[in-house]
Amino acid sequence: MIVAVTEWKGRISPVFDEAMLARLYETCEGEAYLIKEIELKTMFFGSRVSQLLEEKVETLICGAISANIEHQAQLGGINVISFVSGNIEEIIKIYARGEWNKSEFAMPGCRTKEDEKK
Amino acid sequence: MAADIAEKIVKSKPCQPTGIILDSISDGVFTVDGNWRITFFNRAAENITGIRREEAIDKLCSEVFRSSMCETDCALRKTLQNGQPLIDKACYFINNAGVKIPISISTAVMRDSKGNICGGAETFRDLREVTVLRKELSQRYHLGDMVSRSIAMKDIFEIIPIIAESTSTVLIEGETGTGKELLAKAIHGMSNRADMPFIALNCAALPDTLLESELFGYKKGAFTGANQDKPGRFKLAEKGTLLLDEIGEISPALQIRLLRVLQEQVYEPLGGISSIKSDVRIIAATNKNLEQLVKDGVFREDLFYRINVIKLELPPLRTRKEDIPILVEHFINRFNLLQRKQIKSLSNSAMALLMAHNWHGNVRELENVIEHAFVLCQSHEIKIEHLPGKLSGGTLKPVEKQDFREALMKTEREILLLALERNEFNRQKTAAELGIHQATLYRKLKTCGISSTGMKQA
Repeated sequence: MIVAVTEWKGRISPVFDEAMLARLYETCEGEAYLIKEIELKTMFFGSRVSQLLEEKVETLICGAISANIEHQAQLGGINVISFVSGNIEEIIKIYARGEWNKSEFAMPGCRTKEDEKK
Repeated sequence: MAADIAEKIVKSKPCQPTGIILDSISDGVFTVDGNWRITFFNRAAENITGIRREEAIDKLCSEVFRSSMCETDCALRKTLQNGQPLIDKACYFINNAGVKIPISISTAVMRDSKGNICGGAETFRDLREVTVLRKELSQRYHLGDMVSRSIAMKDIFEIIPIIAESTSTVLIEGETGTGKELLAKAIHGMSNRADMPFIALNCAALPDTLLESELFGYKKGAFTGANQDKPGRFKLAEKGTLLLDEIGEISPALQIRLLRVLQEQVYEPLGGISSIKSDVRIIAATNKNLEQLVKDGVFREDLFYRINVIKLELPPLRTRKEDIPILVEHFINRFNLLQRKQIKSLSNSAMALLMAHNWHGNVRELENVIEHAFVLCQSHEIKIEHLPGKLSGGTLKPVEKQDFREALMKTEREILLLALERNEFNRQKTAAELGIHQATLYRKLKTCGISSTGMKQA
């Protein structure tokens, strides 16, 4: 499975809509392998999602994302894990191992009330 | 944070903003330390962002604030690098619901009692209300990204909110460059589908087979190379709006498929075995006369009536020249933002030239002219010499020594081209307008290097 993670200074880029770079990982048997990095286009609406679809991305892990673009990505069949913050290496390893817990890496203000009670 | 900035900041003595005062103001305020971690977050910042203070404190400002500027153009970083405050810079941030909130931000350096930099402060103002008020005040001139003060456009602008509320198919007719896509976006933006996608497809840009897969998508294995399912524009626009530009260009076969979607709201992706229900509002646009295409047998009559539920005709710019000054102002504002220039106006003589031009490329041509001027203009005012040569006809610029015959031929060529265009490239009509014989016109076209292939003779 190909997972795209938008990157800025080793962390998840804060805003997907403005992110410049995405790392593409292949996850297999609990490991994540970096395939390549792609420069995200900023020319017109929808092109980022099209780029990810062209790269056969199945899951996108990103920071804040506008609802419109998230909806587009989802309609394209991409599983979007949004409003995530933190170190990319750490996040992708945990995700590949299947130990993903969104609340642990949720952006400030994005944890649900249930998460906070835990 | 860059090491040079971090070194400037004295870590031992963090600043203590006056919390009570800062909590009483309506602008959001936050401060950061040398590691870009938030040290203060006022009440207004909580209200505007929807993030509680305790969640924000000690977090990276880019991950709390997540504005459009954080990654590429951080204002606070610039201020800490050069010590200069930034005032009222427009941008947006994305709230927890994925909504872009328009804001203006200002930044300042924070110093301790000894004058050492101890952090940065950023204030931000929620512009949602201002944006709405500004639109209310100038509603007569604005619709989405369109501006106008002409009566013809005002009539269209007034009817758009009503059209936006309905779910009917809309047909937009207008010459190239009149703003058909902008109008479609405005309809979408005012409809209850505004939060859903707006997808545009230029039907003339793709060959028929590609257009079909682009519209309806395909299933894995539908053809060689189809290694996985690909959603079509109909799926991408689900619950939103799909603009089919240059609809008059689609083939008869595709017209039938499109008719079915419009009639039954279902379609099948290439290689698919089951129908997919579609909930998409269709807006069709064309620079051709669809009614004429129906008469010519090129466009299906039943599809035409399906599309032509509501028809909007965008007038060409040459029939609404009163819009030129307001459009120029609009483009100057936009290019100032995009190119970070501070051009304030256009000289009277340059404006006179724009008013005299015929604008066959319409608003898009005007936009290109202003963009051209922006590249050349190094002052605060756009003058004639900054406009493209085709507008000034070369006569208003300093004329270099040139061959008389060459200049004459150039002028003759321009006259011929304009006359041909006015007469839809009909040689007989063009010759009649110019008061010359058809044979003379033919000879002149040849001399001026204008090909007469494809022109109508009578």
